Amino acid sequence: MSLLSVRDLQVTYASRAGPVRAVDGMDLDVPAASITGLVGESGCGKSTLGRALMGVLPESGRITGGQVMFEGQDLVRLSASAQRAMRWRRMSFIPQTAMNALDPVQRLRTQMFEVLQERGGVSRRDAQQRSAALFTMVGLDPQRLADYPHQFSGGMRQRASIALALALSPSLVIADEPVTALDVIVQRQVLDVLRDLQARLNLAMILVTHDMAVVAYACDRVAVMYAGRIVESGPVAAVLERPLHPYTMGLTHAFPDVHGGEDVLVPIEGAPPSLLNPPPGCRFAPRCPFAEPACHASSPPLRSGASDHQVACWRAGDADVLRQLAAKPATWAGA
Amino acid sequence: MRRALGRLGHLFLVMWVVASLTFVLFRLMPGDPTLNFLSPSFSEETRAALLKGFGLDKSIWQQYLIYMNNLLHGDLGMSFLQGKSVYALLAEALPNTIILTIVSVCGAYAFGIVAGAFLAFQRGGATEAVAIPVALATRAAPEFWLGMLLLAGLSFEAGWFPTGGALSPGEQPGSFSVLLLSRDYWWHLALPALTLMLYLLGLPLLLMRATMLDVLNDEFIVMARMKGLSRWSIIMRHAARNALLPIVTAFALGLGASIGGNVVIESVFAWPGIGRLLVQAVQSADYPLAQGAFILIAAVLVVMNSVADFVYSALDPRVSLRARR
Repeated sequence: MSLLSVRDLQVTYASRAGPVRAVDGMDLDVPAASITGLVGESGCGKSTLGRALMGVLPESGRITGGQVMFEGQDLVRLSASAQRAMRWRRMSFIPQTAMNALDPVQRLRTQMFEVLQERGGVSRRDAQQRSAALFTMVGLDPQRLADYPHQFSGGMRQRASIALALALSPSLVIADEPVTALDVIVQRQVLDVLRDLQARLNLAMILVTHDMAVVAYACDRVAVMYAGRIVESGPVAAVLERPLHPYTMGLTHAFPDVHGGEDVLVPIEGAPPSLLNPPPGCRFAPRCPFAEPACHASSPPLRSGASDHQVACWRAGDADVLRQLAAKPATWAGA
Repeated sequence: MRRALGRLGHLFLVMWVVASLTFVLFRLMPGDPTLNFLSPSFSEETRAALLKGFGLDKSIWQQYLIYMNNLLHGDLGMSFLQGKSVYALLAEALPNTIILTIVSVCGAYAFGIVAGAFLAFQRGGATEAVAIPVALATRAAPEFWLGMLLLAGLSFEAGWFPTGGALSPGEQPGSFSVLLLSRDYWWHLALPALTLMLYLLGLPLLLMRATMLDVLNDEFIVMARMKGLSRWSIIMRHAARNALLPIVTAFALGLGASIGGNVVIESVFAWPGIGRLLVQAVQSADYPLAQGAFILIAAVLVVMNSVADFVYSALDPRVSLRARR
């Protein structure tokens, strides 16, 4: 049973040129007490999904269809006040850039107390203790609660953001590119904190990233997103070792091997389609070296393949053969 | 401590430059201070005697040294024209200017900040389409023109307000505290203050709107919404608090600039303040009075600059006047 299950979700931005479907028919299941990675390149809609789940889309954005079941309620149909009441208490957020996500003119303590008191109904004395405990939990000295954000390093700010996100003991935490702005050593420390806390607190977490290495290091499950849809999802080991979708195959070759092999990095040529006017068939077809006429004609649904491993590809049946072809750089050069 | 001393030294240097410049400036001006007393038919001896009495017979270097020496002792000299000490004349005019400035600047900023924040939320609406051109128009309209329009309409035509001065004929000025309680005084203050307020209003209004729009797009505002905080908390505690920072600087500088820059309005409304005194002094080549007025205005500006720095550092933890830890 999933804690969060998204079905056929559509998020549309109004633009001068017409409606842009940033998320278009997305299905995603997030099981309780595990980390689900959400990967995809820039502009594929992964950050939009995070903001849509939190209910704070920009003014031009709107959920135009589908449902989001979370703890037995459909968030899409929830009233604005019921949604606000749920925010941060049941579901919280770790932002991409902790730099601007913290109010620059308020002490960390003030920002922590604000959440604990206004949203958690905690007394001032308890807020004091809870803040100190949260800071200790993420590996920060509670003394630093008296500091302002600019007195923190990037990694410390991200730890503070994690502490804020956990303040009200939510069951789901959405982390939007939590380590992207950090150097690799600090990245690993922050990911370790996230993993450790997830296990200790039995949290469900969505970790939005564009980095396959982060997925391999920190996640239990992964969902690969392309042009507003999930194209493949499943347990991390299965998806990374035996990818079923050509896009995932391409992604695994586009990142350096963690174990330091001498592989050549192979980019996926081309760019994602315009979401203003998406092609009728599979959205990856124009860049896919294995595309057939059927791929351009209609869009493949997300279907379960092997146990717990889903893919949206007309050629999923040939995946074993395609994977061998995809390992050769020449395959991607021609597309 | 060392920084404070350094700052004080800096202020001192600025004031010395200002004092020297005003000294040179007024002596470069065409016109002769004696001409205000004497018709050209007076004999050359009388004129020489008068110049000697003013100390203008000495060389310019001697005049400068005497002037500086007096200044260091806090002596601004005697007005050529009015025969009173410059200090007394300034002390008489300064309260009027301060009242006019404080009322107008505070009014303009209080209204401008609220209206600007409101407009930021009405972005793209009809309110904005009307309010912004109006704000720009009041900012662009010359003060004297606006003042004359108000005078023509509200004083001469409607007769609601007096046409000038600070008190009606026959009213006794009395002490400053008595003045503040006098209805007549406030009645006279209304039009010049309104004019100045309208003129000053545009800056805080447009600035507040712009910074508010900026801040509302900041990531921490989105985060505040995600946290499910109330609209009030988001606007007051996070958005307005951050948007106010540049306004504070503008306010302190505006206060300083206005005290010296009320020349036009004080002249239009015959308001007996520093600005009008300065105009009179310049017209009659009254060197000591003009120098005194200029030095006072410069001192106010310099002090308000420091106040702006200080307040800013108190409001924004990222700015520190002290050396970094």
